[in-house]
Amino acid sequence: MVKSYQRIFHKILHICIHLILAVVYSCKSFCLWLRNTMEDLPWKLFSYSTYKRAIMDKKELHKIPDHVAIVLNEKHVDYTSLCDLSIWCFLLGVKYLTIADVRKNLKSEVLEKKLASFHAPQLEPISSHADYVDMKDAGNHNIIFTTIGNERRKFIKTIQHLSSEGISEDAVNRDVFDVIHKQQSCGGGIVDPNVLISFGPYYSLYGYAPWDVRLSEIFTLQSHQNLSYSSFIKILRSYSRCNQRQGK
Amino acid sequence: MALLGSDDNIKERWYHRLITSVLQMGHIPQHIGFIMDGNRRFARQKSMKTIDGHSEGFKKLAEVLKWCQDLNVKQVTVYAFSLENFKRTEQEVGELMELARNKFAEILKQKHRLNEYGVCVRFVGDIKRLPQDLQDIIRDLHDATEKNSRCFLNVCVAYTARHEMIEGVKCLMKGVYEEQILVSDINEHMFEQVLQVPKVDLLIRTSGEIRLSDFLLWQSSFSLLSFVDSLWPDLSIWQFYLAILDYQRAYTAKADLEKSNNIEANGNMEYSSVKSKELSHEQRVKQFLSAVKMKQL
Repeated sequence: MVKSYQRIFHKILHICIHLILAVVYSCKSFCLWLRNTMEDLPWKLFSYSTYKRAIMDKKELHKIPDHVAIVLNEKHVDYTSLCDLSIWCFLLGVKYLTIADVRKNLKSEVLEKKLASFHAPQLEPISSHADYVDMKDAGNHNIIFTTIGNERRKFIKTIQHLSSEGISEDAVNRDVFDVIHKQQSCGGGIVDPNVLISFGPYYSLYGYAPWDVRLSEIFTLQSHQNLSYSSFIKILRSYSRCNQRQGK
Repeated sequence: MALLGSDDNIKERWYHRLITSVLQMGHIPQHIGFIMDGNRRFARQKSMKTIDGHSEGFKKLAEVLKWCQDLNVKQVTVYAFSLENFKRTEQEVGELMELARNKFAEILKQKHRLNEYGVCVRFVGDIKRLPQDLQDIIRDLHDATEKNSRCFLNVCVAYTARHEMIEGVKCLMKGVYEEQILVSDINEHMFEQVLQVPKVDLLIRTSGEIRLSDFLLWQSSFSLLSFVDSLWPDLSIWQFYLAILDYQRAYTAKADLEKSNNIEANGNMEYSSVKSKELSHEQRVKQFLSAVKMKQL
């Protein structure tokens, strides 16, 4: 009898703690949104374009990632925000942008039209085939559309390829596997993502390319809806400041 | 009662017991991974020698294992020493090996305690890179606890995830070469089974760094990540409780995502058709994986 009352008491306490946590996280999200809005306000008031901000920020960043990977785990896709994100990346000097869709909601042709409508002459149209997009190099900027399933299948296919070629297992090491695995990628020869931003309800990689994220700096934002430049540039500033000791 | 070290160092308050009971009303992660980062920075902050920082880190490990034990966490994996850490100075590597020698020897003396709690201690990594006497202690510790199965402590020593994944790849390649399995049998589920460490539910990294640094890359692919600002020796039980609460909040969404990935990765593959005298896909895979598990033990 005492034990069952104890259990009920613990259960109620458990629910209360989770309710309090939910309120605290909601307040934290609101404060973050408010801070980003206030930071963007002066730029908007003086009609300073994001283009000019990005050019200024590019000069200040000590280190710019070559490859940014975005993992989307949300029900609704905000193509305008993804478009903005693509252009910010390119303005700041990011060479490769991977957009990995967890829920397979993303339609790459919709993003392609939006990018064209932004009158960004440095971006050429991108054609898509099944889950992958054939990249076209446009001033050294590339967008790769993929899904989580594709990335993981690529890894398994590399193992199957090595097994079927009759290569001796002694000849396989990390570097050899890495080269062969990257050759399987669309376009080939793309570096591992330096920065990975996951958009979703919790902090996770959501299954993204396990082999590739060895040294990726992993950031999370709850949503990509109405993504602000301030929240994105903070991520790149954090990356610019980080010091990877690589075991030393 | 602590699994490692003295009980005196681990004080349990009444509210810890209450919160542990409350947390057990929700889902508890079955496997937690820890990247124990920040020992050297801790030593610098406290004006200690680096090796003393690592020693404090070991004490914190004992404490954290107690927290996990109280919550009935079935499996804990810790990143003790990376293959990349061999790049450090010879003096520091030597001191770390000496610390490992002393601590593992101490744990071996208390093997009765580990057996009492049913703890199986496993070492994962390129163990042959370690000094021979340390390898012997590791083997003795593993042999002394291998029959235990209530909970598992995986210590990653001379380890990187890519090295572990390559060993898994080689295992599968050998299986195909020896005609134990077919190329078409290889899928995500099979690859997971040839890895030495199973998938992780919650991964905690201290010191504020937000990367995996080549730790359990495949296994933590769908995990909840918890990057804590504190240095490892400063990790507090409240930060640990918060990570568990975050896991409970994310549990349903996480489980749904893993389920849909499992169906996509392993459910749609067409396997080679069965001939009457040959083994079916399921039989081939079962035989092969049994042989692999025996070899790992």
